[in-house]
Amino acid sequence: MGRSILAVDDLTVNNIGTFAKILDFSRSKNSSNTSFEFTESWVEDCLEVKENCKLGYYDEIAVGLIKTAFINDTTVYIEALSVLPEYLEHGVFEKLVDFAITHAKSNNFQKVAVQTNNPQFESRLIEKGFLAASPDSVENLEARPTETVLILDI
Amino acid sequence: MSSIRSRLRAREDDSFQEALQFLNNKQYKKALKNVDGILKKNPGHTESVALKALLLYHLKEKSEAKVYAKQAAVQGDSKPVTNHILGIYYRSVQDYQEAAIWFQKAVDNKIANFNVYKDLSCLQAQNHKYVGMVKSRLMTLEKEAGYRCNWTGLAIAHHLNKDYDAAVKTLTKFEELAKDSLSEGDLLEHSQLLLYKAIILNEAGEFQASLNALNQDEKSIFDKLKFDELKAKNLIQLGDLKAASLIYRRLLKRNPDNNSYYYLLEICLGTNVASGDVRKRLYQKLASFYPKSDPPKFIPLTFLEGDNFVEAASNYVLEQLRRGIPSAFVNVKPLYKYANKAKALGSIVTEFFNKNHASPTTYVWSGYYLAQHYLALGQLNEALRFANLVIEHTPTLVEPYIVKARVFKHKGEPLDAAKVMDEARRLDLQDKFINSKTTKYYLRANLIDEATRTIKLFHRIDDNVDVIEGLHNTECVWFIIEEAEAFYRIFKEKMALRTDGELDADLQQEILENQGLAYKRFQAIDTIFGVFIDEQFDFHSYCPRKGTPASYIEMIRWADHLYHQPMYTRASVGICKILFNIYKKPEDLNLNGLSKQEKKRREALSISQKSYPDDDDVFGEKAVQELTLDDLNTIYTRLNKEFIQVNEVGFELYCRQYKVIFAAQALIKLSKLTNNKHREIGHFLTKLNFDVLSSDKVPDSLQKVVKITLLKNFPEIKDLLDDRSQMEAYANQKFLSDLTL
Repeated sequence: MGRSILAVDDLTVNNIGTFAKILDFSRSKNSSNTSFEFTESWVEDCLEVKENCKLGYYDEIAVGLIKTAFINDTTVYIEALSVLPEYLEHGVFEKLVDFAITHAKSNNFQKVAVQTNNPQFESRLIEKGFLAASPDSVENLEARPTETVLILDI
Repeated sequence: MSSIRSRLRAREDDSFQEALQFLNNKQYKKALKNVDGILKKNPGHTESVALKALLLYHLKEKSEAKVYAKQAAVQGDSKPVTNHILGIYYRSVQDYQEAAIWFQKAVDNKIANFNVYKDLSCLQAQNHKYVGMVKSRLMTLEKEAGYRCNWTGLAIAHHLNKDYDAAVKTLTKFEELAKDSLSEGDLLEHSQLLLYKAIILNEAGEFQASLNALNQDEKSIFDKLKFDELKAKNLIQLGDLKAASLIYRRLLKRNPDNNSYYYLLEICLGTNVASGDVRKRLYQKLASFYPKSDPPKFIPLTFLEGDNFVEAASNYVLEQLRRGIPSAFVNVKPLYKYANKAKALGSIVTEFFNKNHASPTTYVWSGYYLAQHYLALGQLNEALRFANLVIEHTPTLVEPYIVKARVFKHKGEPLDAAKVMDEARRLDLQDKFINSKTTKYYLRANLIDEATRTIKLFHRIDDNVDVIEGLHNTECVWFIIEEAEAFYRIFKEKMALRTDGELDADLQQEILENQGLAYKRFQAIDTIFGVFIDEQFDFHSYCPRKGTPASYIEMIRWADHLYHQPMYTRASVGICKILFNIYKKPEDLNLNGLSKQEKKRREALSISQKSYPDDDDVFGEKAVQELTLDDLNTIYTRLNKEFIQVNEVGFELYCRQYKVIFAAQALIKLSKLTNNKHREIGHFLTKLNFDVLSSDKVPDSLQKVVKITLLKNFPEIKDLLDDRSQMEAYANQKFLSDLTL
């Protein structure tokens, strides 16, 4: 069996620049879950909660990222999910979502939630089993009016 | 009376012996007390004067030590103990020439301590005085023939003295003596010395004898790799190619990635002069034996032509691009010296790049290849286009940024280059390569603070040592030279800012500062190379003792060419240029005249740019003002005259000293090295002919000789020597038509 071409790895103080680059670039190419603009300090704060952040790799090149948060007692919320557009078709997206699901399971959460205004992302998430829901169904969620809320029960 | 004197003498001796004991125990202050006591009663006791010099040196009173050493030298010329102590003193201050003189005097004055011979032989080795070294090693051996290291030491001395026969005889003699008494612990040393003997024989051209020695001692030589390599070398030199080829095949099995084995095997098989087809078949076979090795796939690319080349090159390079090997371009770069091969490779990869890509990374790597391809061909805009394509596709990959930065560098935009490099650095802060690259690019853009801040991220040696000092401690020459050149460029920039009117004190100070710092950094390279030379010293005694003569000889030969390295040349040329353009410190300039802002800047700089602890001349301002043409002469003699730049500064240096024959020789060498295409030669000739030769400092007879020499080498100036304006016209025309070198 050859080595897997896909991988996720930790965020560190040394690759935070790559994290910021993917976030920035994907947003400009409409290849993120949201067009919401994250500030520099938001990026820096990610280092404080490294266990909730991952980079996604394709053939050892970092091409995607995910940042999750425990938003309430039952839900892992995906704050940011970005993949470089040229790599969307190549499995990194799914690999990152899988991380969110495992992350939720291993911490005994029952749901994964995400907001998105990106149709491509929406259909991929639905394919993964996510369902559209009302923003009110997720406690503590800061709902963005132009975005759809999707939830996966696990 | 006489008995009192002799009792006094005896007490003096005791006290002196005690002082020597203290010295051995590093109790310098106690020893100094004894010595001072002796000198109070008997100021003419030169042994004590010499010892005082040595003790003061150890107590860090270096300038005072020097005075006493000189005094002892004058008074104690004929006293062996004084000679010996002076020898030790000069060895401590690392003046090995002077030390050798005093050790030699101690020997000539019949010193009783025979260890002096050992010490002397090491100094002779350091000074390359091999004839004397043989003598001292022989004396050492006579006294202590029971130690193998003394035999080895003598053999090394003979070898360095190119007396191969004597070296081999010395080694053989000990082998015979020790034949039956070698213990298991001696076997490794024995193995190394047997191999060493065979190496000497090979160097002496005694190939058969070398081969015989190897065969005879095969069981005792443990280093089978060196054994096989030397054996095969001997066989080739003896013409027994068949036997040699078998050994190379064995060596290839051991390491199929060693390029040279393939070439040597070809020499044995005679295929190196055969047709491409024959060689192709050979390498196909070798590639099937060693499918994971690169050389059997790459080497055919160097000799195949036409369709054969295209086919082989496609397989080679596209396989690497498919596998995402970042160095794909670098691997084939040696082929770029053939224009047709470069072109073919470009077409192969372009076609591949334009196809559909199943994996996004093959697009990335082939685009990255093409960026480097166009950069190598000097088509900077195309290179930039491909680098940008890749960055736009995968902005998280460091490599395409590096090419992009290099493109900017070649476009003469060092600032943009540094910015791009830094963008790449931010992607991966733990990548030391990109960190160093960024530092270098900042320095190229004269952004010294940014460079220092960047490299600091990788230099946390010690909290008390600042980064510049740390880089000097670790002999980080690439940084030091780049910084030196940056300071020099800033110095030139500031010089250009001067106006004819009253000079601004701040500006003057900045000029002096940058000039001084540039000199200080160039000088640091000289110091570091001096340390490399000095550090050989310990090995003259260590290697014979450890039984590693072959490595020792390798080290000596490496050091022989140390000053010929491009790095040293760059630093020396830098020092020369500073003196040629030196800005002398105006008498009335002082720091009080500086603006507040300038004072603040200077203070910060004096902390951040400190290169040595307790330095009272951080900016090198004093040192550079003391620089003389004589200092340059010392440096210049060491340099490799095969470099164009060296002869450029050599010409200038000799002109300034009116050494017209040397100046003319430098010009002739310059013309030879550049096929007379150096664009400045016309101007140099004008300068030599009209400005230098005409000086009163050049005797008429010499003028004539030089003119004849010039005419012989530059016949084109035959009718111009008496007319400056015509000569200048010729020089200007040559400047425009010739290459920039």
